Amino acid sequence: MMSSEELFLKYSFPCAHVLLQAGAMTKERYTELEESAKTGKSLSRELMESSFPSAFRRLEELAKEMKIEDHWDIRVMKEYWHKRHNKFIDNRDGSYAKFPEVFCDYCKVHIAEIVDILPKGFLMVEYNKTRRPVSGDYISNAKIKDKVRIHHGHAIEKVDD
Amino acid sequence: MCLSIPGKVIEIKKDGSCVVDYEAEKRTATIFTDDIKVGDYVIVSAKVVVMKIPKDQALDYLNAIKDYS
Repeated sequence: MMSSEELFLKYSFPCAHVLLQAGAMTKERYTELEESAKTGKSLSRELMESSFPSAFRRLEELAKEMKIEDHWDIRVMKEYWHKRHNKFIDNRDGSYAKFPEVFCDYCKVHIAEIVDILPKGFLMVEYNKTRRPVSGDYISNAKIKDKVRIHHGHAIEKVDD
Repeated sequence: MCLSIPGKVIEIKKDGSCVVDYEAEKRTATIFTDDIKVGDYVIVSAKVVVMKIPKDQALDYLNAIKDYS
């Protein structure tokens, strides 16, 4: 099972490029996160919290609501990425208020079905009548008909994991 | 690199890849779908086109992240 840190980084890393382009993250920090997302090298919680302040504001709110003291608790992390993240987007929380609809959908976590195994480690997935390729780097033994959670251009985890 | 911002397709190559223009730089990306043409705005992840974006929404998004908060 993934640790809270690993779960958070896999889901959040695709957002780092948006922050980089927006000038809200340095190139050095982006490279550090990219290296960790690729290799699994651990990063401190402090570094991740300072990199993604909006996500942690939402995680802290959620932990309070769930009456769990530590917002890094795996139950809070899963509840956030599996359920609440999309609701924050639907409510146009923070910067999502400025994003066009197609990008808000791209930023959401979707449960998708693998419909084809593509070259270069990619998977063709389908959800809500949308079919698009995503990186399958995080998914071991991916098979057609497997259900995965996707975020931006990545399959993050199998639904049954 | 994950490029979660849209770029404009300026060339389709015979090998199934395309050249995407990001203003500051140009990158080559593989295409796995048959609906991409020159002039389209796309998102590229790990050197693969993962999504086609309507032009108006692509331009709105690029403006939105300029004053990200």
